[in-house]
Amino acid sequence: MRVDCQVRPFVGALVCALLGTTLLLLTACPTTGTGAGITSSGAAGSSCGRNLEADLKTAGNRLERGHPEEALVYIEALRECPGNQDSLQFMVLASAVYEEMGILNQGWWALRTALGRAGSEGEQRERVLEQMRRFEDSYARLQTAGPDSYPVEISYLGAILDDPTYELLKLVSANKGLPLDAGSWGFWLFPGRYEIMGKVHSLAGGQTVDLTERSSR
Amino acid sequence: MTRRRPSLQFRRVPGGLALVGLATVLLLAVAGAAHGAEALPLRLVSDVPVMKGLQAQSPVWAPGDTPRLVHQVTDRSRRTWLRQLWVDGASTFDAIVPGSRSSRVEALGGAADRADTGVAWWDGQSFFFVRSVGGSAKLFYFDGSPREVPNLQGRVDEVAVDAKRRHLFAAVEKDGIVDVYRMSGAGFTSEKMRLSHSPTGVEHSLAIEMESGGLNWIAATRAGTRLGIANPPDPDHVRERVRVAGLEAYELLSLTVLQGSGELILYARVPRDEGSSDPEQRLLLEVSGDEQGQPSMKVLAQRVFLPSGLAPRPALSGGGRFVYYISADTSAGNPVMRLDRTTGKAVVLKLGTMGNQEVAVGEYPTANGDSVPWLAVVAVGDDKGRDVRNHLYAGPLSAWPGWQAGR
Repeated sequence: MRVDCQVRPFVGALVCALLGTTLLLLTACPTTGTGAGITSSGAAGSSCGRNLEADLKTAGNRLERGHPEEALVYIEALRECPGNQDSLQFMVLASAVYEEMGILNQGWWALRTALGRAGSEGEQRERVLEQMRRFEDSYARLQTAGPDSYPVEISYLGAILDDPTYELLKLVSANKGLPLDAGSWGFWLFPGRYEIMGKVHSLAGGQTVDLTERSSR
Repeated sequence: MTRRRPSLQFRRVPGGLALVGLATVLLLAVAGAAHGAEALPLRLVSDVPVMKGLQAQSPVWAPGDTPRLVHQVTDRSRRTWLRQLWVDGASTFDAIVPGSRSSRVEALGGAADRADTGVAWWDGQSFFFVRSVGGSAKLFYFDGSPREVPNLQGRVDEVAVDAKRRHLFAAVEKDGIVDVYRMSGAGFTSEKMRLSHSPTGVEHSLAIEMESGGLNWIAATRAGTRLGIANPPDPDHVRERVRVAGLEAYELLSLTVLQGSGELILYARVPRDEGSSDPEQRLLLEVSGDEQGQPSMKVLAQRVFLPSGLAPRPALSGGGRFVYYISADTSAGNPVMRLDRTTGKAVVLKLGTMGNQEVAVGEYPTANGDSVPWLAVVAVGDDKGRDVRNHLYAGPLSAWPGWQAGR
């Protein structure tokens, strides 16, 4: 992956915010103290005993106040707890937090999971579908042949490579994609100019670059 | 994104009104013929749904091969955002710069109170701009998604990009002190050099001569404005005050540098005594150097109209041969003038617009290599006389493939 004009100072600030919020979360929790609960590795015992609704409310507040990095700590901690991924409320909030942090593929995963939890009809389903439409209109889609395909060569051509874009490109280079729809697999990217497999693309929201054939082994 | 249909819009009008309209058209045609000039093909480009109730201002043409500009859109609360407009054949396309890159935040009206200003094109498709929200003024880059330039301390007033795209120049206010900085390195913020010596202000003026990389600016001090230059743009080559005979009589407002020659075209005004009720006098000036490099000044035009607020930059074409400005002649609707610097003669451009406020010019090549100037004019009222907001008109000054056919 070629990276021009890289900007990575944001990482330090993010790590500090995450650490701070982690401490906040842990000290606020009467049943913990191990610190292991907030990792996404599965050892979520400390967080899993907490009240999901209350934590979602807190995370939602942090998000609304413009601190998605703090909300992300809650989401990551709660994500591995048994049963939480069955919660529509959790998945909807998770998608919003991931999206706002620029973790687009996770955001899409959460939205698709939320749709599965929203039932086959009704207002909730409509709301999730609306969110999905907005998401699809706002970001560009890079479609490849799947997890076993050749990795896609990609670089960002704009002047300012921000951290979320850098992380997304790393995922593309490592071929760590996800199912986009039934039958399609790939990645979400921020609109912008990229060189993809030697060709320059000015990607707008809602646009798809289909590399299914070129990337298949 | 909205797309305008290139075809004419026909509407049913009452017979009497149609007759009046016909008479007016005939009258205008006769008047045009009498002046020996045809109306230039400017087209109203701000009559799209997203512009309803909003005003257009500050168009800035992009470099490159495609006619493309960004202009400010302002509502009654002075909230300001940016709209891109580009031309493909007979059609114009446009897109608003979103307040956030997150679709969720955007749907919630993200950064709705923003004031997006200070556009500096990076290349033919992307640009830097300044976004002020709640007291902060941060630098952003837009290439389809707004990306904040991180690690930039202070309030950014203005930014400019050099030809090799190695440096960003910015007027930044930190702890109440304004200075011009040269920024480079990773993210353009890892290496930062101060070029000015803390004037009380820097006018909307950062201008780069692309061959030499020299940076010009107007610094405001308690004693008046002065011309600063850093050529090459490093701290050892800064001249805080370029002395030009006669220039101290004026208050400098904005400038454009002529590529290749380094000459400057400036908007200026004559300072008035405090409390004076005399009308403000605005002018167009030229500063050039002789063979010994001794700079001199010349008044190119008087009775120039400038809109309130930040002065736009003087508009040029033909390698600086032509200078465009708006004449402060309300009886003639503040006409857009084109001054030929080789002859010193200025002509009125028949644009069909009234109450002109601002003019910006960009040049784009046709397929056969001709360079065609494109005008963007902010003028009061739409082409149907329906309102008195500031609208944007755009078009080429000579034939452009497809454009005329679309009218």
